[in-house]
Amino acid sequence: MNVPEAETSARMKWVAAFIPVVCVALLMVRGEVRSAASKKYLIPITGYDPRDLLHGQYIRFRFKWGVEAPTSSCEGPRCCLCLRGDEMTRPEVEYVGCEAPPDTCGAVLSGVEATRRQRYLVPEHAGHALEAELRDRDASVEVQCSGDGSFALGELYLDGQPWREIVYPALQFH
Amino acid sequence: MTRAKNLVRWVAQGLLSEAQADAIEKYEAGRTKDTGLKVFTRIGALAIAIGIISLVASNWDAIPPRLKLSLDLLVGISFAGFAARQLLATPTPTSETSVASLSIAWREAAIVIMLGWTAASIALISQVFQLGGHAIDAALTVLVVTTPLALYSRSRAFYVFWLLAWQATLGGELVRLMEERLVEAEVVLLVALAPAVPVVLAGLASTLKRRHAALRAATEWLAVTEWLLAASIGTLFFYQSDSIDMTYWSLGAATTAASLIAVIGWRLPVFAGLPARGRISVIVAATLSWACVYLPVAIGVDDAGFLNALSFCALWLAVAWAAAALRWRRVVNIATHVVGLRLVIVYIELFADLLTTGIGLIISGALLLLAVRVWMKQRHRIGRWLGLPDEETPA
Repeated sequence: MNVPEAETSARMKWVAAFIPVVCVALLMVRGEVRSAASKKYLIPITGYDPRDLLHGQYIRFRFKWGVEAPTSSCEGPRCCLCLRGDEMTRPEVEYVGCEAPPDTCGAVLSGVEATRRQRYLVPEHAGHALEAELRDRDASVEVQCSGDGSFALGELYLDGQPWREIVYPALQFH
Repeated sequence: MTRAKNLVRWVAQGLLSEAQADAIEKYEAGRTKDTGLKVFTRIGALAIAIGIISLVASNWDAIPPRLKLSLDLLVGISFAGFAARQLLATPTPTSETSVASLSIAWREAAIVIMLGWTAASIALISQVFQLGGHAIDAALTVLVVTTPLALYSRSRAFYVFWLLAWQATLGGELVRLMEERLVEAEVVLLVALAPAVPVVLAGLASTLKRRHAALRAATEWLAVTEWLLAASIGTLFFYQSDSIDMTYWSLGAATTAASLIAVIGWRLPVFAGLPARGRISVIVAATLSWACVYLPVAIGVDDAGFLNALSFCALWLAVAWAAAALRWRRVVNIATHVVGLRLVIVYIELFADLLTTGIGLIISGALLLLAVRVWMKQRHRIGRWLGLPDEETPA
């Protein structure tokens, strides 16, 4: 049964229709700002499960931080990773307490998040070729570190080159 | 065909004149004339929404990320403009019925398309910036930002799915946030509190105004369905019951009972027109359903199939009684069918061989026929005793 609509201003209807667009635009801007303002490091990666790097539309991996397990000075969620070094290079890494990290740290990341299994989204058609290249080459990922301990993934590198420059020419020959 | 046969029957009984029957037939034909178009409109909108999501999921690499984001925004702006225009195109009282209903179908289509676009856009942002966020966080964001638009829908079916999406997302967020921090007893408390959710939903539904009739109807339907589902599942614990922390289980039971009392007390004025026994039927059904949710676990009796059958049938008979008092015909039919199905399962569970099954079926069939005969002879007296409205005494 159609109930007659109550009077609702036209403006509210326009607002309701455009709220999703505005929010999505804000998320895009936030992504760009974070990416521009973040400190970037190159971290080597290794497959989470060498038999199954590719999982649907993403590859699974973990970072090779090259650091010993945390000492008793910090445990679990209170442990953070301190990264030192120049941008876009492999940093020196050590575990520190999250509450008071040293000032010399270029970036501080949540230990729980940084040591967890990671996912890198890949285009549908390039997944298998990329997986094959990952087994044969040294891989690293650009990690964009924010001030709040979180990070986002940037470009994926194979033997120091962006992965598309290696995978796509190989795809064209098949 | 059914409507045409009904109209012929009613005219033959003198309930309607032929002119009235023709007018009804003409009106209904006009109303449903464009049903096919409305169905195609909904399917088209759903296809667009799913197609956008699929396109983003393929992570198409042919164009640069920033161009992808810009194109996505342009598409979103055009979809939003379309949606706003459909919201503004309110059917006038003088428009033809079929035109009005098509206009409403377009509005529903626009809302679904915007929902799909929003979900796809958030996935696209996650892809481009490799944010690696959790899918439930994305779902929550989609639901929050599209709620103002979704509230303009007038489709009960849409609201049922929308409410289910909210419940699943909020439940998933709660579980994800708490799973590493809760001890087992606290998990029991969460499970014990879960049945209170439909009760609270039903209470909230009663506050909705007339212009949200579709949302109110969807909320009530979903709340009653989930509540009865919880009660039916509760009776299964008579088959197998694990020992749990009764302190937390009792706390959940008490909270749900309080919510139930508050909701029924709140809505009792609605039942003011019911005879006293009719109101009693609602209270009995509510109490019995609460007992079915919580007591089987609390009692901790195992391997008691007959208790399951007994409690299950009692629950649904009480539901049928209350539904008859409230004039919910469809629920009465469903409830009686459910009881019948459960009785058939009793035969399968109890009777191992053909001989005893046959004897059982004959005796119970005879009892059923006797019950029907008694009901036919005494239905008005029984109906008054049960507190059913006079004109609604079931045949």
